[in-house]
Amino acid sequence: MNPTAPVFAARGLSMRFGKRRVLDGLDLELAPGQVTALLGENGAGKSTLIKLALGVLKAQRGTLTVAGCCPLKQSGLVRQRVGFVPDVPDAYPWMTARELFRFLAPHWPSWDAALAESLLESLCVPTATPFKSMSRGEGMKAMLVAALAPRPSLLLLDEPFAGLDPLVREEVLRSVIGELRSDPNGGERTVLVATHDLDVVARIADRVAILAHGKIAQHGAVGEVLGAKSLDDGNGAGDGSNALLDDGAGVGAATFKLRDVLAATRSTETAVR
Amino acid sequence: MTPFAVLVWKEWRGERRSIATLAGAAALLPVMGLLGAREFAGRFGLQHYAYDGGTATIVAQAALLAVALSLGAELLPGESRRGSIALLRRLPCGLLRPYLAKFALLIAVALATALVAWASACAAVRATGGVWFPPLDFGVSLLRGVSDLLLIAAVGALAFMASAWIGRATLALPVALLAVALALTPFWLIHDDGRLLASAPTLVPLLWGAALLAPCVGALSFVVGRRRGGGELRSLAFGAGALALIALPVNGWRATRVAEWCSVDPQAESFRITDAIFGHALAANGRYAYLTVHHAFGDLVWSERRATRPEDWSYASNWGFPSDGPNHALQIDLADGSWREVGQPGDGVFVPQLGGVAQPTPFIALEPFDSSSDAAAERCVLLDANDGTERSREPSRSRLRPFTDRPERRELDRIFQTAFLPDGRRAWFHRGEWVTETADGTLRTLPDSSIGGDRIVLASGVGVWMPRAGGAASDDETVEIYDLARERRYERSTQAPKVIVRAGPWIVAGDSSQSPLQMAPPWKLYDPDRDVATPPPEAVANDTLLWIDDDGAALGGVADGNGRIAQLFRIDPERGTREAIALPAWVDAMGNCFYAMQAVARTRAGTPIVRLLFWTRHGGAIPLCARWDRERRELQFVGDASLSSRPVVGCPDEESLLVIDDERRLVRLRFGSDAREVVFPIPTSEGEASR
Repeated sequence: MNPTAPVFAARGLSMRFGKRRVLDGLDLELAPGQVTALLGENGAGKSTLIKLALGVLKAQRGTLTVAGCCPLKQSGLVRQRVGFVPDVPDAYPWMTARELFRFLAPHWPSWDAALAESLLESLCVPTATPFKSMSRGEGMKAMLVAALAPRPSLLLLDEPFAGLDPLVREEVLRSVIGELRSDPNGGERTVLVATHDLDVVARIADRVAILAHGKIAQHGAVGEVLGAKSLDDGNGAGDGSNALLDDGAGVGAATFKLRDVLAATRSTETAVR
Repeated sequence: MTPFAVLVWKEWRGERRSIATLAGAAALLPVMGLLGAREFAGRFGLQHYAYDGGTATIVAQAALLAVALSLGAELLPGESRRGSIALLRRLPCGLLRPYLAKFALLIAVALATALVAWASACAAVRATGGVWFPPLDFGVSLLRGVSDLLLIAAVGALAFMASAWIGRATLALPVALLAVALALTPFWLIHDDGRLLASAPTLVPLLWGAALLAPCVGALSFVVGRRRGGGELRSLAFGAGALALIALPVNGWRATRVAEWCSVDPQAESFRITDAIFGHALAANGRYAYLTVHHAFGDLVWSERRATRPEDWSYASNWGFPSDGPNHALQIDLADGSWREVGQPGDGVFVPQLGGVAQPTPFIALEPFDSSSDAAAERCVLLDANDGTERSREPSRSRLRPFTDRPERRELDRIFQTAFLPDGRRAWFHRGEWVTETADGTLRTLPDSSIGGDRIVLASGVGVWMPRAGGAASDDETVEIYDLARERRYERSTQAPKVIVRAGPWIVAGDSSQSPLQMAPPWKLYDPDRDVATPPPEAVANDTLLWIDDDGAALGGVADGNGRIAQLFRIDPERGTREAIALPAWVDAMGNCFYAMQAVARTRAGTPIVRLLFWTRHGGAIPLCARWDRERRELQFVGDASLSSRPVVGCPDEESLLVIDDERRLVRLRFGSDAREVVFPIPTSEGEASR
């Protein structure tokens, strides 16, 4: 695979469920080594796009290349190169984290058991507790470890922090932020995080793509899309990359900016129609 | 661990409680049940079964079914219910391996549980006083056990398949049965009057098919139906589609069989006119012939068959060839060769109260023939042979008793139980007695001729054997013979079966070992009134009598030095006179056996038709049919010798004879002529017509 080629490239991607059009000619490319936040309202199609990338859904139109492969024709290869964390832990309730890894490891030739152990320890994931007895945060961390252990070149996170109470969310965020970027091979891991949480965006993303009405309405550095000034005011990292925003004023400004962007997108669409 | 092994492990790990429960139940329930049954029987004074290994086999089969319907029906729906199907979808191996892992675990658990149940039942059997193992029986019991296992495997596989479509394990079996019923609805709808049933040999491949294909349909439903976000409805759609595709050839096969069952094609290669003694008849008015026909599918090579060879007709055709199609009863119009089927597919033509030679009949019976069953048919339809219309329906041919009191019976009896008296009148067996017809058409019962029953009576000349109740026994010292000419009953020694009753002295056969002809014994004259046997007149003493005519005269000849009859004579055994009978020029001699001359038919006027066996001057034996013209004292042969050995249907008139050629054609031969005419099926070309 060309190291500079996009890890994720969608062209004219369209998807509908019944009469409801979810994606409508979506174009999106993710360059290697960047953390991209996929922002959008509920039902905007963020999860759908991720499922298309995993090959568990089939688009009606358009092309999609993930880690150099077609997710439908080479689904096995794609799934071996892509890590995924769902919005809700979907491991078997009776499984412990170790049993989950025991179950998953043989399916991924690149599975790094040492890395999994290390992550379990660093993230403080309970290893003997079945998922049905884990807290939501513990379950998410276990799923994150399972996604990272095969050392994927692309990591897809589908609103992993949604539904967590603020304290747990903060703990999880602090735990995983470092792990998302660090690639034990020294390479650059690409991350796509679907979320509607600007705090998450501000803290982990380099770039942000705003999904509205089935298309990518805006795609660029976090600062460019959500307003560099307000972000800089909050954090001081004005280059738009690795923007970590942890004060309420910055988030508030970004929220207003996002509303502006979505409103502008709506009006543009109305004018086109 | 390999990916597949870890998938099996996951199934085991997830279901281990259920599996342990099943194993525990398999271990305990047989013991509790059998001990409880003994206790129950003892407490209430009931008969206690002597349990044996057969009980253990039943318990093991029940365990198999229990595993299939509980664990088997839960494995697939559980993934959707728990939401873990999403995790399986994301595995690089796809959904096929998880499906196979589930199936493998199901097979392993089913077998292991059945083994535990069997062992437990064996122990319980022993504890309750039974025996460990039944005597080994590799016959019916083994086959029954295998078929039961097959049925359980099919049911389990179908439930497993249907569980891919639904979210609740408890619905798996009903849904599976419903789906199979829907898929095979045409199978059950396509049938005639219920006689073409799906018999056991048909069901076995169906069960095998279900046991083998159901997991494949289940795989398609689960793997393809669920792989891209599909749910139960999508799985059901794929499964239903696959079932429909599988059912298509099954239903097509069924439809083909029914078409074969229902259809007759006289021009088809497989068409056969059944070569059966009682399967053909000729109408009394000479217009119609009735034939029993079938299609001999098994005789054809694969490429020539009209359809797949039917392996097991429920009501297979005639005389024990299960690969043949069913009987059909056809009415042939001898005027133009047109035909129509009378009765229903499966029916054969039967002529009630046959006498042994082909004679025109006013009535025929139609009834289904089942070569696989010894039981009499349950239906019999009586037709007027002169026009083919239905006259009555009887419960069965073997119970035509109600028919006895009808006028039809008298007609049938008159024709088929006939003996011709020397004055040309007929005598026949009617309602348990022998009767003759007077000049004014009324019946006269012959004195002392009742045998008090409906038993078959064999005629020999103008004499009749009067069998004892229950039939003759080998150690019977005497038999009763009724002389129709003298109208008297005689009791004679067991030598009497070799008697030919005549108006004059009877003819008694001697020791055939002293005869120069095979099975053609020397003979004597016998006066039944005085019980005295006398040698025949010297002039004919060495003559071999081949056939006795109604008037008491015989046809026969003198054996030459080669043990053959060089010249045929009409012999008067009583007076010792003979008259030579002209034979074809190519005849060298008569055949040297007692059946060298046999009556095969009578014309509508009662003229005998005989078949003679000749040696030709070029060597070899040829049978030839002829009409015996009593007035002119001559045999009028059919010119075509090649068909004279064929089964005779009858004489529609005084001039011709109908025979069945090559099991495929009804051919008319003419006496005193070389002419032959294919009457049925109507030839499609000149070549066929002359063949």
